[in-house]
Amino acid sequence: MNTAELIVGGLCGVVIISMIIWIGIALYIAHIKMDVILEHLKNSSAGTRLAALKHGGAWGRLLLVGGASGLVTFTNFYIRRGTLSTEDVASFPVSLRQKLVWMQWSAIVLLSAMVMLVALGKSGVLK
Amino acid sequence: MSEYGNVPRPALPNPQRKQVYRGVEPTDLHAKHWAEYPEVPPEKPAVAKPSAEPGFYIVQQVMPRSALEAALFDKPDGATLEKFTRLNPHVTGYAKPGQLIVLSDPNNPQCTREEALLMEAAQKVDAALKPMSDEEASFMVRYRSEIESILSQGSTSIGVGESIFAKNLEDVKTSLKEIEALHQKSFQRDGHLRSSEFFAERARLFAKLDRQLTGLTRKGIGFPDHPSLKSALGISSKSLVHHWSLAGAPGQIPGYATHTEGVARAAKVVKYGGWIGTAVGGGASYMKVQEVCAAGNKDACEKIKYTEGGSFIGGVAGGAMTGAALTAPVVGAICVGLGVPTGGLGTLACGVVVVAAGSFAGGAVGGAGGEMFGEVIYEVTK
Repeated sequence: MNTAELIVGGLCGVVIISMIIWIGIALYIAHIKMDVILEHLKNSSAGTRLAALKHGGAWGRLLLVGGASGLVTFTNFYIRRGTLSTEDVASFPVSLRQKLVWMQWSAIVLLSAMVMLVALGKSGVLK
Repeated sequence: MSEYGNVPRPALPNPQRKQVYRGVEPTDLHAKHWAEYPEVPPEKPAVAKPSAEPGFYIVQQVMPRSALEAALFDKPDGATLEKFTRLNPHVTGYAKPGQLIVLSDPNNPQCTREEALLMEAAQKVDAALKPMSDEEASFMVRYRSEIESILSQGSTSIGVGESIFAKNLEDVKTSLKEIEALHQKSFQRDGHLRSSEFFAERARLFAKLDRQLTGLTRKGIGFPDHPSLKSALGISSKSLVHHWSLAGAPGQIPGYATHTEGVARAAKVVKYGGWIGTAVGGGASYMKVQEVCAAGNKDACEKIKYTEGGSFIGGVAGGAMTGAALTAPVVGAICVGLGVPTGGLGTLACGVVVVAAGSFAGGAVGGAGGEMFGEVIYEVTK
């Protein structure tokens, strides 16, 4: 195993540990803020749909927070499709929204980083 | 009150002493006289009122029995309430959401068999609801359509697995299937299936069910209100009365059971897709380690412990995170983009497949990454 492989492998570990931390944070947000999130999405059809995940156990909560963070990050996409109401977006608590937006982007970054690192490691260019 | 309406009982003729013909029957002059007044009904009211077939009502929220009676009957009379009590011995102090309430016209003495079957079904539903708390039961009744919508959009590959649905819908489903069978028997006996109105009604119901499968705004359970039972019992229009003859057809699976079955099936796919997938992944990793270690090479054995452990952890993390990132509208967009028509089983299947594939891909990538990381740890600690 050469240095490049060690670095890529190590970075994989960093990404996986970050993913586990991300999941932990998402579950924590679900634990303390789920009702606040659902309360501020109740005028949107996407929000009522997420509410059904409330009793879905740990995975359901994870998906709930993931879904909500997608909603508040890409508001225009969902408003155009009519599943998100503009008043919900306007009334959503700013600090919570910032957290969720951060969660969404970090998920995208982590997943793409993982794909890139695996592609790099498996393609054989490092050898 | 006499059998002629709101008039005094007419005088009866003296009993005949001999069996000889004594001319025509005596005319009832009272009845003749009162029949000229329009406010007096010429016949018995009970004869004029058509009797309705039995039906059922699904309780929507927790309420005391008295409130349920008030909600179901506008003007309850003694006979109606007495029959209601007799048909629903399972409703004790208060009604639990999801409970099936048997309703029947006290003026219809012919449907005791159907009533008995409905009561049996109500008992089954009750048994199925027993393990659920009131909160869970009301959640199930309230969010049924949303859950269906989520599953049809497939926002979850692993999500609802632990929810009450997978646990309890199987039982509720069985009970509802029996209600279906009950419908079928009734139709087979009455032979009402060949009429054109029936076909039109069925087509309308199927179209309605199809809309409801994806519709978020659906209220209640989706059976049509039946007007005649309602008027016969004096049931207020805000209640949903499911007349069983509007709800089913032999040979095809309509209504409540179809939806419940779909939800239960999808929830099962979701449950096993998630947890069994994880277990299989873990089991495969374990087997691989055992195989390599049994071969006797100590170094290879040490190494594969790290790589497979990393692969498993990375796979779970990657799969779970991809599942969370793949939200319902995104999956819906993918399915529409693939040309799968909106609504129905196609969307459901597409949603489940897309999320499952996404999660699987995420898990595979995460697993590969974990394997690489495990190798690094092995190299460093060697």
